[in-house]
Amino acid sequence: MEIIQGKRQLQKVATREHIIETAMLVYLAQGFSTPTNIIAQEAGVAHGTIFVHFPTRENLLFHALERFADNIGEKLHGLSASNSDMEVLLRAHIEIIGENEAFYKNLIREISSLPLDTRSLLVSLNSIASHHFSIALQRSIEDGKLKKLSVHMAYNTWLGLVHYYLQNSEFFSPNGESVIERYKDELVNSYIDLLKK
Amino acid sequence: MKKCIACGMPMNTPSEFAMGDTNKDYCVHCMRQDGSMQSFEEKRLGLTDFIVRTQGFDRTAALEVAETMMKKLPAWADCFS
Repeated sequence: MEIIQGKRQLQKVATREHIIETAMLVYLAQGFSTPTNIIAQEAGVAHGTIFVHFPTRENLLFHALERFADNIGEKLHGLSASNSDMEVLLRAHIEIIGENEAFYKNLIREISSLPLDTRSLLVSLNSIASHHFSIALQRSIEDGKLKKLSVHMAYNTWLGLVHYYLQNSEFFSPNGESVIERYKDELVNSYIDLLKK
Repeated sequence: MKKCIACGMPMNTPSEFAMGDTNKDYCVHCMRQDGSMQSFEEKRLGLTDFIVRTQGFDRTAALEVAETMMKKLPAWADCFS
């Protein structure tokens, strides 16, 4: 009896994992508002099975996006204080965004319609990045290399610039090439020029 | 890889753990000077201040986001029930 229950438990965990992984792929390809019946169809499970594991559509969305956020957060955390040079830090940051371009594009386009707990995942990612950013900025200001700006204005200006290119990627890179790959040097160099004393 | 139970930060190296002790469940940023973990109120205030300083949010909105983040963390989940 215990063996059967153990097998059922393993099956339950595996099904939940399969639904999350399928949802991640579907959300990337079709956007975060994709209905759960599409995810069930792609996962090869009954529509009701989704709700055995996730009480609401929003709950599934949160857990799928949390998985992205954990993976990206781990990389952002690796930026660390050793990247104390602002240019090196920005290049590393934009590389991480570029590796997850589809995720960021969808997030930026749909952020205002997402529930607060899901939106807070982006705030968490920005908290990690801005923490390293603030250390590098402070050091560059003390060294007299960059203008004395508040952390939030300097960070939001950088983020606003990158987000604008992601949001309008069809105009900046109409042939489908990665907009980050194409413009990362120009974005980093121009931003640093703006901040230089 | 462990994650801080109080803020969610990944803890990979001993220097990221409170007191450099890898048996601890919380990070160096969530500890008080004596090495103990910050209280719920201390963390809520600290997280709100951090969001305001680094991302420039309105303080009330930053507090709401900080609480939303804390609800998902093992150290504070019970504080909201």
